[in-house]
Amino acid sequence: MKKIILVSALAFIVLSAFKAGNVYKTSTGVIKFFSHTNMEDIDATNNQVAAALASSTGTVEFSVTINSFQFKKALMQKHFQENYMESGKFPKSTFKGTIADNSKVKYDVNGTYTVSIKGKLTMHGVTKDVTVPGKITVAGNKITLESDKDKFKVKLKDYNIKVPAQNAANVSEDISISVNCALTKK
Amino acid sequence: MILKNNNRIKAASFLVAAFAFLQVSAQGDTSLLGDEPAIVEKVQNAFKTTRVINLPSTEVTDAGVFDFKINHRFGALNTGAYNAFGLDQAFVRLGGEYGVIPNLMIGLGRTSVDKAYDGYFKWRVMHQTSDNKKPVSVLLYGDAIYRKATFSFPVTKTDRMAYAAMLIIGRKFNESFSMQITPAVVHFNLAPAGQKNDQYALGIGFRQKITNRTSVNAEYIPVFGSDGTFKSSISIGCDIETGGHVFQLHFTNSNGMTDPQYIGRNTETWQSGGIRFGFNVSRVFTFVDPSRFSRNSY
Repeated sequence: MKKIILVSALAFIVLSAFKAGNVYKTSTGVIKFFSHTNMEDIDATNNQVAAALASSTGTVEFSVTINSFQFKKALMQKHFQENYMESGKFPKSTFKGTIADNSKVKYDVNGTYTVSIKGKLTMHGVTKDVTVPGKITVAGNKITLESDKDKFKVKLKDYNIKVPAQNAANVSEDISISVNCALTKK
Repeated sequence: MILKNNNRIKAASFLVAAFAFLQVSAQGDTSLLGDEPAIVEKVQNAFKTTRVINLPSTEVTDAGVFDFKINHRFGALNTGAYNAFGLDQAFVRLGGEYGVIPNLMIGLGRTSVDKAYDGYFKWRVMHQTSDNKKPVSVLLYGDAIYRKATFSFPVTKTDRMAYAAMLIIGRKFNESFSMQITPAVVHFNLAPAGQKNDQYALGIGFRQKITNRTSVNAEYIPVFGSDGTFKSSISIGCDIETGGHVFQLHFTNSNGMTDPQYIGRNTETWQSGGIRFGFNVSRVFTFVDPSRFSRNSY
């Protein structure tokens, strides 16, 4: 009886370790965005992004605090928070997705793999399906997730973010997003 | 021995149960990130600009930012049709504010009322936080003016000086409503015959947003220590934000635009029609990249 219990307990431990795979995490990931118009270039950086990746399933999660985006002008930052993102109502933006071709990523072999991540991006209270092309770099216990900045763009109107007519010349409808998060095995 | 075995079995089955539970909860927990710490932030944007209307608000010009201020007051409504109900008259103040370091700003200006020059500072001592551990913002404010206007009798330079000191206690209650209480003391080195040099006031200011970019503002500044010659200032207006500008349009019974003047030298009342239309225009220019200052401090 005792042995059976011990063996089954051991089996559970092994099984759970196997099933969960390795989880990689960070809380200091970097996300930047860019808005380019002929009138004005706007960019902001958030270097407090929380991100996690489960290697066995290829599940990826991001959580971004809107007010942590830093701008080159304080007024821009205020307008971004108060008028565009309404961070009082929607303090966070999240992404949950899976690596479409997770099987080709060898988490125990150092190297760079071109992947695309499909998932749901929630921003300004609106959730949309997005596909993010990018690459995964494995270096020992460290995994770096990088998006392809030129290919990952969101449209403001998809997320119900309104630009007043008088500012339309300064704020682009298409916002490029760049993700660069270095995760470590937990 | 049997007892011992039983204990072991119990311990082992507890372990199994615990692992089984962990396993289930690991699968049930859809978030890989787990529990994230609650965000604690300094509460920003209680007001659109550094003034409620006349009264200094809980906002401080951001570090490295210059805010150009144009204030304008027309004449009073009760000056009659001959003066186009006040529109023929004009009082102006041109000034600027600069955020020296986070939480500290200074300002300078000149107004046509008494041809006065003014200089002031505002220092945020405590900043309201989103977790309500600091439920209010507390600021200190000091202003000095020098009245250059010709007096009908000889006066010294000291006589021309007047001062205001305020304690600003304000809270942003939610995204749209903010309120502040502002005890103030005003000191004129030279007071009219029969008047005290010191006057006390308790300013109250409100902001209610209508849209993200517009709000209704109101302020009431009851003044004490006067024999009734000087009246409390009451103003109501709206803020309109357009990109880098904030326009404040309002009706007020004060024509002074510096703190000692609108608090302590206000002779008109709303009841008698001493109401005037006025506006403030604020335009900000960023001089220094905010990353030069410490994070999230603006």
